[in-house]
Amino acid sequence: MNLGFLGFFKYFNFFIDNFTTAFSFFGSEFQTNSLDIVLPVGISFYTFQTLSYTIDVYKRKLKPTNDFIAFSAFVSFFPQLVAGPIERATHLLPQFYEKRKFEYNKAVDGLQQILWGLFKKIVIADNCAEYANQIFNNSGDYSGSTLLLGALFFTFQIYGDFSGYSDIAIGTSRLFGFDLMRNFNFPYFSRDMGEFWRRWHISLSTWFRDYLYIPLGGSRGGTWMKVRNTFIIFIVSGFWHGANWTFIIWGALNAIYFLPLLLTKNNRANLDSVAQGKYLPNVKEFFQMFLTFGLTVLAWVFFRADNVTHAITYLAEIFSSSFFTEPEILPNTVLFLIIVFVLIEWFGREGQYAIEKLTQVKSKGLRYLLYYFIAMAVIFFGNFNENEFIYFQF
Amino acid sequence: MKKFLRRTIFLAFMILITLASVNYVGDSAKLFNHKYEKQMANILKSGSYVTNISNFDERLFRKDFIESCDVSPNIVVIGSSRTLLINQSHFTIGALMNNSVSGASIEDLIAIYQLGKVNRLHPSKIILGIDPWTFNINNGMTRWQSIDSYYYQFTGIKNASSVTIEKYKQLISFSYFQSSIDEMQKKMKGNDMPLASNNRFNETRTILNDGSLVYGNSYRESSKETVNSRVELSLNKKLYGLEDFDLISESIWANFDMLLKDMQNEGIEVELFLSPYHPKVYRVMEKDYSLVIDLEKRLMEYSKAKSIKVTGSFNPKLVGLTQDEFYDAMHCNEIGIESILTNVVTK
Repeated sequence: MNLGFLGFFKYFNFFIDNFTTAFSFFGSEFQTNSLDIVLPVGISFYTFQTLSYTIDVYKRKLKPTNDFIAFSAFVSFFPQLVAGPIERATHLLPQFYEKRKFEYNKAVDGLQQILWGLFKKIVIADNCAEYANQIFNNSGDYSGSTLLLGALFFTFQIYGDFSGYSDIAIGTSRLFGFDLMRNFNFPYFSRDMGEFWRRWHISLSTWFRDYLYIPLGGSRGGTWMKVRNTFIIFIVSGFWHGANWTFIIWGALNAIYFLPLLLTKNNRANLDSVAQGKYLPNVKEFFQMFLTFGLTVLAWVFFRADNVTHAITYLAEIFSSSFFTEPEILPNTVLFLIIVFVLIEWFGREGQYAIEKLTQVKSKGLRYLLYYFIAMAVIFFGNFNENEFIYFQF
Repeated sequence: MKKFLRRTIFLAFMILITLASVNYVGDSAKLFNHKYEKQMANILKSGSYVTNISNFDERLFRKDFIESCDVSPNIVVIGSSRTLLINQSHFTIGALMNNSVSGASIEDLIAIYQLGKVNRLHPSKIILGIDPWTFNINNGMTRWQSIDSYYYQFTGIKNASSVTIEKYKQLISFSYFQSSIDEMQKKMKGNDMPLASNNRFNETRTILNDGSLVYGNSYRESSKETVNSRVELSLNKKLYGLEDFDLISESIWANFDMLLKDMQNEGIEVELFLSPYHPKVYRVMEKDYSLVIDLEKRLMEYSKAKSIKVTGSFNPKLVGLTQDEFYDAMHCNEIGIESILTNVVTK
């Protein structure tokens, strides 16, 4: 039932259009009409959330609830309704049974996380979006170096946008005394693709792991089973984002990145945080991060492109001789903001979010001064052109 | 809970105080300090041109400019930025005063005309710049509210101004903060006030003492590629002022008719001026904004019936302009304006 709604609203036209194209390819005319469907905001998120309840009850991991209000609140909890984190009924539902009481430390921490989420969204994501859109929308006019810059801007846009939203959702929930699951864990500091996928959109990755990958057999069985399961989970994950071949290829590309690690049993080689307890990574870790980040950037091109042809021509231009020319667009302020952002994230990478440790600053005056400066930085550097969150469309 | 609220409110208050102080002192659009526009008007009155100008309230400047005028001009131009380049050199007989403002709506045209009436300007001719968005009820133009009392005075509508609230809202506007910070830096460097000049051509925009505009050097000397990229950029989105232009507003038409009747009753010769669009833009208009073409036809029929002269056309071909005579998507350059006025492309 849940998947039926999702299938109709999100994928009906995709399948109809592709059937039509396939029939035309083989010379048969197949008359169909696409429907003018308005996609309900956040449908992929709350469908998966309610599915987790149904499956957990079926598997007897959770008792079915008789409390209609608690269940309705679980399904429609406003901070995470439209873009996650995708909560499990086993984690969130019991919190609605508890009596609410205000916790000062939790509220301060929540507000601090909202502040950082706003910085990520308004300062990083929305400023990067301006250039990413300009470059992707007119990619034929730019050299390879500029296109690489455009892909980099989109890389930071999507991270700032989505993890910023998650921070705001988690922080808002904490203000009300609710704990939501972590959704991002500094993914761009990952040393391999396995680590990246343990740190990016954690609530979705673990959902697929628990409700799809493991039931399929996971990484047990022979090589063929491993390859099949890996491709299924990554392609379904891509398809979850949208009914477009670009998302499917993005998923498949990530499967290709991940498979060598799985087949050589190195997919769980990096379970800790990079350079734990140190200021800087060693040379090996640096190159591992650089390579993983580079592969991620290339994959994002498929995620952002209008269609597969666009993505391929975009990448082809990056790998052409025009890569060695000076970029036509070089927005110094945005590049400066990205560098500052990466440094803050790096030094805060062992916390739940980059500025978590601020609550530990003993001097109250200094702490409030830092809050004040971050808030003023959001106002001063922010882009207030009403950019919607990217993941609202999923 | 109380401790949390107290501290959060304190922090929010400090942020708001900073925001409001910077917005008030920096005041990038000169909303809280009217001296700027007055100084511009005084420079023009002294016979000089005025340059080094930015982010002023054009409507308030026009008010000060008209109020500072001792001798009534013979010809007055009222329109948008698309008529701002019309200047004295285009007319051999009679003194000209250009009172155009950027993004002029019908309310602007009426308010500026009324300002002239209140200040006893008795021109023998008014050139009224008409833009396609003039008749778009959804054009989103609100800048006329700076001089809204004159609009209400003319139309007899009871003053329903919300401009004061809008103005004070800017005190806590984030976007206003960003521009006001820049303005504060200029103030600190002492580079924020308008300057008198005897040169028509300067680094920044210059307003001549007849009220017309000369663009800054870099804009005037833009390469073909730059102009082309400006045109492409404007074609990437909805054309200026033409968002949701789905009908020619009859209420605006009634106001337009009332304005023209009043001018004619005052014994003023009225001439409509239609400034052309860049050829690329006009081609898009023919395809996607056919109402603009209908509007021009309706204006022609109306003018013919009322014996009103029309100069120019939204169609650049009809006035003999090519893409070389444009600064951007909707502003033709000095040569273009001169060509329209001197060749007298009238209908």
